[in-house]
Amino acid sequence: MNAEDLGEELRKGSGELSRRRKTALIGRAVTGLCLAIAVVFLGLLIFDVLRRGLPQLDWQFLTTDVKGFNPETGGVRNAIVGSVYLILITMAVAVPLGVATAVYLEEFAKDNAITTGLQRLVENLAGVPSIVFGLLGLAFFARLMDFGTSLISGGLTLGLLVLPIVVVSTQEALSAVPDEFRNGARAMGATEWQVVKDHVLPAALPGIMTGSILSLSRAIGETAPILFVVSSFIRGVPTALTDGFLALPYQIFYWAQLPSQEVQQMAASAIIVLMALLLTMNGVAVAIRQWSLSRRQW
Amino acid sequence: MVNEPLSDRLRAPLAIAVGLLMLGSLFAGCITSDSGGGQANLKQTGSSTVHPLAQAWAQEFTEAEIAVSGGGSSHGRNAILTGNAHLGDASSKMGPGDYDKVGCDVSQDEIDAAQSGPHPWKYPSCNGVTPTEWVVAWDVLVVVVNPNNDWADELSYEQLRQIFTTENTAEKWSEVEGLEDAPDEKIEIHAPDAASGTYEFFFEEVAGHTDKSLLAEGSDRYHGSANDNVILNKITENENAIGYFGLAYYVQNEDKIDTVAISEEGEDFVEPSFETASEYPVTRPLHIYTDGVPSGDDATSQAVKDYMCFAMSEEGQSIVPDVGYVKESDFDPESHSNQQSKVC
Amino acid sequence: MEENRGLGKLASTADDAVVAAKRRERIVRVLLFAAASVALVVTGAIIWTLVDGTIRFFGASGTSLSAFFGNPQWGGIATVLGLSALGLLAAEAFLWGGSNVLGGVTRAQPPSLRRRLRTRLVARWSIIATTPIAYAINREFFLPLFPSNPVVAVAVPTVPTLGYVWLAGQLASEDVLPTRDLPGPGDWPRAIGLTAAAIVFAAVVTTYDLSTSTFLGSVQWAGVAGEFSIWSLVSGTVLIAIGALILAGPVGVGAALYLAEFADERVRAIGKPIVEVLAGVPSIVYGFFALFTISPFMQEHFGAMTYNAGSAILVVSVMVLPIVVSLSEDAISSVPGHLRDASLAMGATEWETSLNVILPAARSGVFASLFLGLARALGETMAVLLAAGSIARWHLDPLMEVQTMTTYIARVSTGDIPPGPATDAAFAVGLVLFVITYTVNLGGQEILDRMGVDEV
Repeated sequence: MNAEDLGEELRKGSGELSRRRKTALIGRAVTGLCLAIAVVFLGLLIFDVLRRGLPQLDWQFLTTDVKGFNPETGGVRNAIVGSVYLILITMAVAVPLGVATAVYLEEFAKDNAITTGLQRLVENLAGVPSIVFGLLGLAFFARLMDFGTSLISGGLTLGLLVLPIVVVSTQEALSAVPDEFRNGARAMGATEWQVVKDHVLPAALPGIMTGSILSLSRAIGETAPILFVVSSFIRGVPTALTDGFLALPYQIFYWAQLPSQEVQQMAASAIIVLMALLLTMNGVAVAIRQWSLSRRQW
Repeated sequence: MVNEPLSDRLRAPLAIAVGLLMLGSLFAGCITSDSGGGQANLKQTGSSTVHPLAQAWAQEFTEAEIAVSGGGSSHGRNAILTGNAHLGDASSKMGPGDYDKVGCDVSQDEIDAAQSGPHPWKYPSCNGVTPTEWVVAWDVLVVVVNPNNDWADELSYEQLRQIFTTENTAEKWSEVEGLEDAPDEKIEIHAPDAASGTYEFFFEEVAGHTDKSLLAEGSDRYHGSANDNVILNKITENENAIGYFGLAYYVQNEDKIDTVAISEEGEDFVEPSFETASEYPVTRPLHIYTDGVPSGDDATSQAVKDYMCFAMSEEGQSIVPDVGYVKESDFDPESHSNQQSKVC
Repeated sequence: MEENRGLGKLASTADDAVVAAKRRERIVRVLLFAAASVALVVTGAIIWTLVDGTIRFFGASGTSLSAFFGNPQWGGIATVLGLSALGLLAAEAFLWGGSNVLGGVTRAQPPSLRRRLRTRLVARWSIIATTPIAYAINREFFLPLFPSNPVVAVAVPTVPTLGYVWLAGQLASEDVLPTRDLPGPGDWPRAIGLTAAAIVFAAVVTTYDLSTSTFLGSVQWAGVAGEFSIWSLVSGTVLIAIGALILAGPVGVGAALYLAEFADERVRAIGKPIVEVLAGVPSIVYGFFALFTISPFMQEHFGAMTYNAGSAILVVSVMVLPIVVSLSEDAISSVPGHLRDASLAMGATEWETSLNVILPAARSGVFASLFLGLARALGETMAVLLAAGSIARWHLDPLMEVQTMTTYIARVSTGDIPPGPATDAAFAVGLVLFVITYTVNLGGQEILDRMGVDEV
């Protein structure tokens, strides 16, 4: 090979290299664009909702009840209260059950087919469409148990909906606790339950709380599961578990379908309220996580 | 080493948990202080047609708390028969099928016997429930066309069947009997979708309910929609379009769209309006069902009685046109006064 | 002596404590197990609810199973669809060199991803794209020629159909030929498999089309009229779910790749939470955005209907995005560093490394993310209900209204349908939806579970 050929070869090589570098750059830009799409979409969504919803959003909107007739003269107070109530019931159902399930699966269960099966069931339950939970609530709580269109029907339905999410997040929190905690306690003669109760659970508590709050924040935004048991109008707020209730997300849905543009704008205001509730819950969850991470001793 | 800090570590989350609980009970506090204690709680459910009226009344009626929910899944008559609601809304009449669903065997004859005389109508009892039917208002359905449509100002039931059903279907306007001078253009239908009671009623009324003569929603001609806005826009855009919806929605958009005068099987043509409602053929009564005529023996029964009295009162009836329906007191004063006398 | 007795007492107290603790332990164990069994109870309750409603529906409506899943013609077409799906899977298996896609046997040196993508694209194209083309040509050119003689009308167009499909098969097999590094059966079975699947599909669909005057027109879901054939709902569901996946898949994997491989710390710290926020936005909010912002845009620029599938597809794809991004990103980040280093050391650019080494190694996770995303899209209700409307009709036009399985269930509850077959049908539809999503989810979980095994 003479010098000329070598030079040619090198030039070709560097041409090839610069072409490949260019491809790499383009590829990088394209994947970056993919991420940008998500960010831009979120920005647009938030901007749009704020643009429509902010003008009507005032103190009166928050403190006036939903009006059945001429809704534009009313507000969302009892829908907010209904949603908060719903979440409290959901919490009462899902958190104890979910944490107990996770403790069993993570700390007590033997590694056998039954355990694997239960684990699978839980994971797959999380993937069942929420409208199917709605049908379950309708057939089981509203009809079979005769709760009808009531707060308890809605709360139980949502509780079952978020149960698997609570279980999975609790399991994660439990498995993050180092085995030294367990072994240390066992060495001191503690029974398995004592190990869990006195050592593992306290250490995992912040994680469990974070996970539970995040699951509940999912529940507060759900419409489909309560579609069959929610009321579209009540005066005032529910006073008993068997009372009918209003919920923010359903109110948004209902208003968005009415022909009046004014009412549609109110739906946007209600979205802002709902998102603010969600943000608060998520904020609390994040705060707990940050705080526990800073105090973490392992 | 682990134990002592653990309790420390717990303090903040616990504080937050307690805080949340307190926040919750604060809401609970609001709630209990807010409700005027001792009031009866009534549940009302059923037809989405009666729904706006039920909402308006529930808001104005202050002697009991009423939770209104819509939805076909617990349709008014079913909810009354199963005891799931105190007030059941419906825009169509009771039939043997309703009894069948809750396990009672009631013949058509027994039902026909109940459906006579002035309202309220008492139907045969089933599982200890005596469904009682009240007529509280009337819904007027208007057939609407584009303002530029000057060939279809009046339509008979026969012509409507040619347009809306599979019986002797006219593809084009000029194919409709009696409209030979109309343009040679395809008819396009924009109207409520099959899940709406309006759709069902229109076909039942105009076509007589047979499966065969239903022009399927989703066919090339019938463009169904859940939203009256969409129907209105489509018809105002298209000269050859026709559709139907409630009188209330027409009144709000009088300047954009035209109604069609209707004649039922050889009778006179009637333009739809609040005033002509009792002569206009495409109307249907809006019902509320209760369990028997409320006696007022206990708090709940008293609340139902008060509510029905309110609905029949001048105040209650005056809300009806605002929601877009025709007052029972205007439509059938005799039936109205008879019903009012039972509950007031 | 005194001391001893004290000690004994102490010991027996301790014994009692141990016994008590053990008893407590047993009780707690039983209680916890009972709690854990709730998952079983809930699953059981769901199935019971759906099956019970479905039985009621079939009993009351007089709808037969075969009418529900298709009328006589439909039985045939469903079979053909099933067969071609099988053919597609078979072709897929061939292309993956005999290994199961789901199982995913990772080779030490995976062949170039681009080459495989090209191969797979062409292969799929041959099956998917030729069919509608063949169908369109037949319908436009041959059917009008023989309006009165169905036998000729069926036979004649089949010949050109075979021609197109053969051509496509050739194209596909030629493209398969150079990829000798793919282990597995020879090229002929591949070509035959592809071509046969395409031929069967195109020919039979064409035949059915021509033998029934209205292609798919007999598929009616009109509850009030008592006609229940689920296909109109299936078409809506498939349109929205697959449409959303087609949009969210590439974008999601791209974003995951960017986050895992290219982004610097600052971008990651902002980008990841933003994607997570997308998952936290309630679906009703997406529906609102679709109906009031995207839909008017679509109406103005594409002539869409007020309610249209397109705007629902857009927002559902955004809802699916976080699942695809986070699972894919996990998979990509868990590819061992030495693979990356080796590729870079050989002089490959970062991009080439990502495309040819990282993505193939992470493909199980990427597949799983797509499966789980699909399940999410299939089950989405509120956004679709608000944006896509409520007309159940067999079509795949994103500019028109559609009804999905989920929105039928929801619409029945908010509409004005009296209790009866039309409302009971919600349970039957729910059962079908449940079975489909559960299967897709199981598939995704299965892949995730196996990922640990065949990790490089």
